[in-house]
Amino acid sequence: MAKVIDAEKLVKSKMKLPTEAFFVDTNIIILYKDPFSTSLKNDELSRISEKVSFVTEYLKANYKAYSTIYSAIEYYKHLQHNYFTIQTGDKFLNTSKFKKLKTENEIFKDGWRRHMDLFRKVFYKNFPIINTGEDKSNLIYQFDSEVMDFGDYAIWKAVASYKDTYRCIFSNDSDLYNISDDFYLLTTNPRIITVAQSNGKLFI
Amino acid sequence: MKTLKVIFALETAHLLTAEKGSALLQLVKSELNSEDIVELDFSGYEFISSSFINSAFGDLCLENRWDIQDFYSRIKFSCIDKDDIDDIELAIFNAKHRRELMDSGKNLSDYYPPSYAY
Repeated sequence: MAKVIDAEKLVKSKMKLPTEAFFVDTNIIILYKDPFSTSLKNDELSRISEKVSFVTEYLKANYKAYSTIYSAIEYYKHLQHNYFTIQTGDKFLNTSKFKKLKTENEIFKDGWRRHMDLFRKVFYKNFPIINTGEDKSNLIYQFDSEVMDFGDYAIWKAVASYKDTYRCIFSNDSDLYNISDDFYLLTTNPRIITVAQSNGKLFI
Repeated sequence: MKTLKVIFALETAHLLTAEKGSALLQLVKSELNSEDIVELDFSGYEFISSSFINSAFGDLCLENRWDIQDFYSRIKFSCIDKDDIDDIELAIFNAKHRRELMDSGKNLSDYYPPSYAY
């Protein structure tokens, strides 16, 4: 089990992160950027998004913030699938329809260009991608699909391959909690914090 | 044209919460009753969140059925980072599309992803 850090408590009490850097998971980037404005007219999602923004802005000002190529791919797929559904009402991504709309429909094209501009900024500027040293060729064979999603596994392996002082993942995904104890899991998810506290795994 | 100093009006440099965004929305709406154009001066702000942007500018465009062009015919910005303007413009684009779905009687839950908070 990961060593858990209550991110909001850390920031509010101005305590120090035990690492010099942290990696953001895709779910945090989605809440931070809210690319489809889902928090508009949604009080619950607004509060969760605000909490993540508050913590992220503080941490970015004081520590190095990074992402991995796996998060970039997951985030891109999130944008592509949801942009298509929101614009067309189709539940499933139809890639040929997507390509056609992207080139022939001016409104669709304009919106997608805006999403892609922000996508580039997120992974160049907000959370730059860092090259990690995990054995990518063995990732698929080693991963156990009954325990977690491939994306969670890949980000953990990437972070675990990096130096100790970078082993911290900011995520609200509870699957990461059970993986390993070789990194810190920074979270705003109250369920993870409660479980970690009862297991004696709450670091802050 | 009236200029509104945002951090002075909201008494914070952290443009974080939906509540503060709604407060700015009310101030802007009030000014637009008597002014053709309102300039928002962001001097001194430290950061602006997506929640704030949606509550201030997304909601303004949702209520008024504005697109980006309509928005800039009434609202001007100064002293704000270009990247934050890009975020605001995307929120306006999103609000415009949401308004169109609402006006055509579509069920928004058929179009928008479920909450992916936790």
